[in-house]
Amino acid sequence: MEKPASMTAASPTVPAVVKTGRAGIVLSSDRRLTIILMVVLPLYALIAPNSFYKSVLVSSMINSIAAVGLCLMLGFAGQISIGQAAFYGLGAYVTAYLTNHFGLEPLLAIALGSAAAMAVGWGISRPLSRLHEHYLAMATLAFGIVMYIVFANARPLTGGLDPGTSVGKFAILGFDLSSMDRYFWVVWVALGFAALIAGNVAATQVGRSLLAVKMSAPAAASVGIDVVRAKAFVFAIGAFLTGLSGGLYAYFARSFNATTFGIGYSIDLLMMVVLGSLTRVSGAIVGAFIITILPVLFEHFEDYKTLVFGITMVLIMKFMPSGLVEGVLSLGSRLLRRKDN
Amino acid sequence: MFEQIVVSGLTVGAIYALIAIGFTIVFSTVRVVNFAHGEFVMAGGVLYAWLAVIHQVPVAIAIPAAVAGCVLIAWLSYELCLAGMDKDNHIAQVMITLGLGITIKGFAQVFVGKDTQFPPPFTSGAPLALGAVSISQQTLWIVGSLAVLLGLLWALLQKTRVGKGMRAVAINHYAAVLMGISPKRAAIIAFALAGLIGGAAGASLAPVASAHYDNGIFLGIKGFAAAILGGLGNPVGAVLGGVILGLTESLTAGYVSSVYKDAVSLVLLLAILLSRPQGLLGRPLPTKL
Repeated sequence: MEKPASMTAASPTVPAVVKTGRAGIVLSSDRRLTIILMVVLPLYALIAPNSFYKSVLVSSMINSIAAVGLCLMLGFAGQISIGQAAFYGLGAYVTAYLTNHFGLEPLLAIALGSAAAMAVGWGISRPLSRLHEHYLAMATLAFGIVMYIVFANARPLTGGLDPGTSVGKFAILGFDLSSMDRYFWVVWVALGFAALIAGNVAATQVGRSLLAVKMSAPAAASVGIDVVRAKAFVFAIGAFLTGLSGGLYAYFARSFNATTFGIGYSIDLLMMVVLGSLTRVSGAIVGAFIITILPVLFEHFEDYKTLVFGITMVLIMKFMPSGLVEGVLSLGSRLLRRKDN
Repeated sequence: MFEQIVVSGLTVGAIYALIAIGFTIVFSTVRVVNFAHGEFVMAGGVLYAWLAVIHQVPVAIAIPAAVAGCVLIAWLSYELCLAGMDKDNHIAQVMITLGLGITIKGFAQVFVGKDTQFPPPFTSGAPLALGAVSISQQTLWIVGSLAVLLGLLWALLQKTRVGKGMRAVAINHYAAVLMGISPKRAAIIAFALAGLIGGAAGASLAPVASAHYDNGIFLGIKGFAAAILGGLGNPVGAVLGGVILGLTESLTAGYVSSVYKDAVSLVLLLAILLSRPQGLLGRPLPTKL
């Protein structure tokens, strides 16, 4: 179990990682980093000075789940999507609709919401599997915008832009978990679940077939990989995780409208995944935290907020083109090597 | 009624076409989809409004100054951000253009302001009446700039050494280098042209549709959609894509509902892509092993 895992999770990056005997170290560093993150998060939640910090933390974790989904699609299978906000919205709206109209248990509603997003993801992946790169980017972008227009205008179902949708408190079998302290643990479990799924996909034959599809679809087909099925699989998983994140968001925000699910969120998700690291689950989580926290940090710049955010993005991509996690790790190893000499 | 809708559709289509050409030129020489391109267009409108409305600069000076400003922005964008990046790391290049777009938007917000401006039309005068159809003078400017810029672009690419060099880089980067053509120079010219055409589009659109620092992403998406629809890398395709999108939007707005005009045009785009994955006039993509 451990050994094949090391090969896959490392290889999506670039030959540089695969060719050396250090591949095992690199992989375990992803898994180790993920575990470290999962341990640090509750510690931070304990010392967080007030509920504002906690809510930023929880919202970063919710975004992390969606980012892990996109990381599988883009980083592992090479399938770009600029329409993830559609799945996020589907998860949130289906969850809200089921609890409000059928009185479903919140947990069950979230599960069904994610399943609905997954079904849609699987459904659109079939026709989309003919498209490549920029054309796929445009098609998913178009899908995201069309879904946004539907969310904003199907007012009987979604409440549109005004009044939007509200849901009750999150509870499991009547046990109230809606306070930020308790909801943190709900999201924490979900994030762990997402990371586990992603790690397992990467570590199994499915993950390797995804990598093959990323490198070359015709070559993958030539060794008997069903390319359309592999793409459908990764779209379904990516949509499922993003839908899960949307369902959790519904109970986090408790009251929201369609603006949340616009193209801006799809682009944010893309930035999270690329900024952290395209090839590591832990990178997606780090990226999600950065993109969620930066605007909050820049809040007191007021009018300069957009400018500062843009310049930060450009600088990171300019000097760490394979992502912050990769950049910091290679910087660290360079410093260590210098010490050895 | 129908004729009037077609005229407004063609006007919108001409704007989309101008934006799409910018995507296409940059893509064919640098192989990057420049997501900051919509912000170049926004900058054209905002700079024009800033000069003409806030600083009361005469229109005849404000327009070329705004366009020159966009050329400068586009050149700096390439020089400071994209030049020297790993050519094969497409996703990093795309992300840096996204960051760049946010930066340009931030500059516009800080230095020009957050107010929506309606700059004066290029020439004031009574609209042209052709039977039941009335065509505003600004419409003529928009369609005219598309025609003139297309003509100039064609002449540049077909008749001059510089243009032939750019086409060579587009066809085969390495072969072009071996022939002594500088891809970096081709890239700079491509960005400058994108800034010029995008700035002209933005400035000529602003009197009709207002200038605001937040317009860029919307304009960029429309232009990108038009470029993809026609086939990325093909200027004629860009014009065709723009006109199809513009006409679809105004026909939907006129006969169905203006709420769903974007949805209808994007669904049409999806439908076309599913039957022709490389766009209307694009060459089928070679698959590499």
